[in-house]
Amino acid sequence: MTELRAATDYEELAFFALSLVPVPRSADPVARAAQLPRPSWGAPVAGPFHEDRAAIAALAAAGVLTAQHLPRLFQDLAGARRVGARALAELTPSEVASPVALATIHRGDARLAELLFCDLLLAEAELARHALPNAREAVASALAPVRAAVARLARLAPSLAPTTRAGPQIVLTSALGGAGRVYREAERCCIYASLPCPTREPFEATALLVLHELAVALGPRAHRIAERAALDAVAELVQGTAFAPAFRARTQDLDLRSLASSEEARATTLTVRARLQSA
Amino acid sequence: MAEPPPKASSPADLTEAPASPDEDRAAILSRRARFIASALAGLAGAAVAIGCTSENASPQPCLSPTGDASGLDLDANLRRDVTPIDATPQPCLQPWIDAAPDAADAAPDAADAGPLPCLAPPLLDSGGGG
Repeated sequence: MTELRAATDYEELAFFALSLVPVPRSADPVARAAQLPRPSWGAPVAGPFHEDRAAIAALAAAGVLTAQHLPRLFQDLAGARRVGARALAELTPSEVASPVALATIHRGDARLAELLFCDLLLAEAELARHALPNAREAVASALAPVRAAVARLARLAPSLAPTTRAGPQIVLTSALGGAGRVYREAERCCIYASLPCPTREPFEATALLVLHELAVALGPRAHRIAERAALDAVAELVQGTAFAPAFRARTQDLDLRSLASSEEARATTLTVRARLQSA
Repeated sequence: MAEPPPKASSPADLTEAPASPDEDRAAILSRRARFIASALAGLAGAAVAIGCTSENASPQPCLSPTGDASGLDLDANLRRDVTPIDATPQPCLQPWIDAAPDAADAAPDAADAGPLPCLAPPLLDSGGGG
C-alpha cells in the first residue's frame, strides 16, 4: 500500500501559518511561487497572525523560502511546544524532526520563520478548537480514496509505487489550499498534497498533484524548467487514461507564462518521464 | 518525533527546572516582539536590503534557481538520485486567486501581493474541504 498519511496538527498549522504570508510582487519569482492560498478552514485568522500581519508582510520577500521549512521541523505540536521557549536559531539537530530543515533555516533569513513559529505557538490553542477538528475530519475521510487513486496512478508511474526504495512519503493536508510541496531532504522525498476541492475535483486530482510534485523533485533545481518538465511529463503519462480528464481540468486554466517552453524543457521532460516510469 | 531537549543543550536549563507554561509564553512573546521590531525597522529603512546584503541573510530569495539553462545533467539523471542536502521545497501549483490574506487591511507589502504566476486552477474553495 502506498505510504500516505494525514498531516499532523503541527504540519497543518505550519502550512496555515505559511498561507498567511503575503509575498510581494517584487519578490524573486521563486519566492512568489511560494505564495499559498489561505485554506478555507472557516475560521478567522488567529489573533497573533492578524496582529503581526505588517511584520509578516515586511519579512515575506526575504524569508518566505526559508520559512517553507517550518512544516518539517517537528512531527507534532508537542515537539514544537517542548522547545517553544527558545528561538529556532538556538535549537540543535537532536531537538527537531528534520535536522536538514533546521540547518536550512539556520542558513537563511530566519526572521519570518521565527515570527511565524512564535505566532503558531501562541495561536495553536485557538486553532485547535476552531479549525483543526474539521481539518482532521476532512483529511481522514479523503485518505482511503486518495490512496486508491495514487495506487492506480502508480501503474502509470511506478516511481510512485510503495515498493520503490526511494519512493516518496505522501502527506495529505487540508492547509495547502490546492497546492503541493515537495521536500528533498534525504533518500526519500516527502510530498505534501492538498485535498481535492470537494465541489469540483475528484480524488484523482490529488493523486495527480502528488505525481506532479514527485516529477518536480526528480527534475532540476531550476524552477521554470522543473515545473514545465513535470507538467509535460505527467501530461504524456496520463494521456488517454482515466486520469486524463482530471489532468485537463486541473491544468486548463494554469498561468504558465513564467515557465520555460515545452521545447526548451524537452530534454528534461524526457528524463523526468523516464524517472517516473522507473520502478 | 523530536525528543525533549537534553538538559545540557540549553545553557539556561543547566541549573533550572523546566520552564512553566507561563514562562514559555513570556519567552515566546519576548522573542516575537524582537522579530516584529526587526521587521518594522526594516520597513522604516533602518535595515535596508537585509535580504541581499546581510551576512546572516538568506541567499535564497536573492538568487536565481540553481542549475544551468537546460536544467539537468542528463548523465546524472540516470542515477535517479533524489538529491539530499539542498532541501529547498519546491513551491508549485499555485492558484490564480489572490491569495494574499487580508490584502485590504494588511501591511504595505501585502497590498502588493496579488495573483501570482501559478500552476493551479482557480479554486472556488481553496481549502479543498479542509
